[in-house]
Amino acid sequence: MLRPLIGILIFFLLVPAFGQMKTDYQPGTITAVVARTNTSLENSGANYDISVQVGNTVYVVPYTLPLRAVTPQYAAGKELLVKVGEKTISFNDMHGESLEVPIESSCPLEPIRKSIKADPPQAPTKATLVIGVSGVKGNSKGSLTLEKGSLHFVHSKNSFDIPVSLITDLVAGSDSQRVIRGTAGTISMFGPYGSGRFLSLFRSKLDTLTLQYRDPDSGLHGVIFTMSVGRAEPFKRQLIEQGAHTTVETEKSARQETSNLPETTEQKP
Amino acid sequence: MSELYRVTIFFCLITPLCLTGSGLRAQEKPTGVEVEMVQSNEVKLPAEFQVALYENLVQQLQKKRKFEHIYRDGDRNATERPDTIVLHSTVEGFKQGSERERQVTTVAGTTSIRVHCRFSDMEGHTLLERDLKGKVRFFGGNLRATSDFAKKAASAAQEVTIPAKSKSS
Repeated sequence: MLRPLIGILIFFLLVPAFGQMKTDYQPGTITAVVARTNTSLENSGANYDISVQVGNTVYVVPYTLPLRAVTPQYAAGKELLVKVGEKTISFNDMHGESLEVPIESSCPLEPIRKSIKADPPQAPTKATLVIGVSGVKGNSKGSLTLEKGSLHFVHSKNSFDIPVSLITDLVAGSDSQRVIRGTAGTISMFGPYGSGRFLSLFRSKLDTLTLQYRDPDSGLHGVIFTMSVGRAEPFKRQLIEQGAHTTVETEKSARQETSNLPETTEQKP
Repeated sequence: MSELYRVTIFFCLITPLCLTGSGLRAQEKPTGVEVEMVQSNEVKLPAEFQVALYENLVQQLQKKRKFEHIYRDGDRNATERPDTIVLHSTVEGFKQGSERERQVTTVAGTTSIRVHCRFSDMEGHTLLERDLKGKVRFFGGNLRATSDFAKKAASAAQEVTIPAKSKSS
């Protein structure tokens, strides 16, 4: 009598284990969301290439945004359950509906890690932190370096690191600033005979580097750096080589986006 | 007769006070706020403005010290507290001026941003909606408009209250 009972007990203990083995869904992390620039007008929604890391493999899948849906641009870094098939990936969207998308490409994660180890430390770049780091005042001057797979900013007393792998978006742009600025610049505005206004005509160009990253709690941070002309784009390229992600694919598309921006007209929906 | 008159007066005074008291108790101040990334689906906004808007919002809310917890977009800890509100911001208008024009002409070159702010509870129920503007007219770079907007948004956040039902559910 006791033996059959023990047998039944063991059977029921093993059933959940077999059930778990059958579960095909596994955790994945969205590592990058890149907007497709060649979206045709006929297409109703925006198109994105979404990179999902599952285990040691990164899969790139196309995703078409339904009208009025929340843009997935800032989804990088978020986790979701995915089912990886031979040619497709299945996941549940925000409303719990199961979606299946084809796999465009897949690559193992190892080469990126190897390249991080192989890269020698870069020469420091003079940069100004405009905003984005708690504890460091806005417009703090310092040096920016890229070493051991993290972005390192050193200000007079403070320093901080951003692991490159956590960077979810990276955009290089351009701007300009007054040659005479700060307190002297403000005082010069009150110069006689419009001399202050005349001085404000002299401006120097600079590059901006805007990046977004997620902290260990998955909280989104944004940081803006400015640096001398021609520095931001190579820096951005180095960051991408080391594993940072960007929504603006190339320099050309970034220029295209900037040229599409209106200069003085207000945009209304 | 006079006794009945007194009792009636007493109840007339007490009843509204009780009702007001229950009304006050039904609304509570949120202790935390989650700031979502500023969206600009319909307006093309440079990345630095988008990030500056978001970071200035977080900074200004921290400065006001009205909330115990300020969570960033996607922060896992935000879901742990039910009395947390969510700030959704959508850029609806953007006019990029020029610092040079501002300093030379004083009247031209204004940079302005119009943002629709929606405060909701964790379930997505709207608690407060505001259209706020950020401007820079005279001194400073174009990004100062984002700081101007953030100050106004942080002030608006102080007005948000959570209905008791929304908090308990």
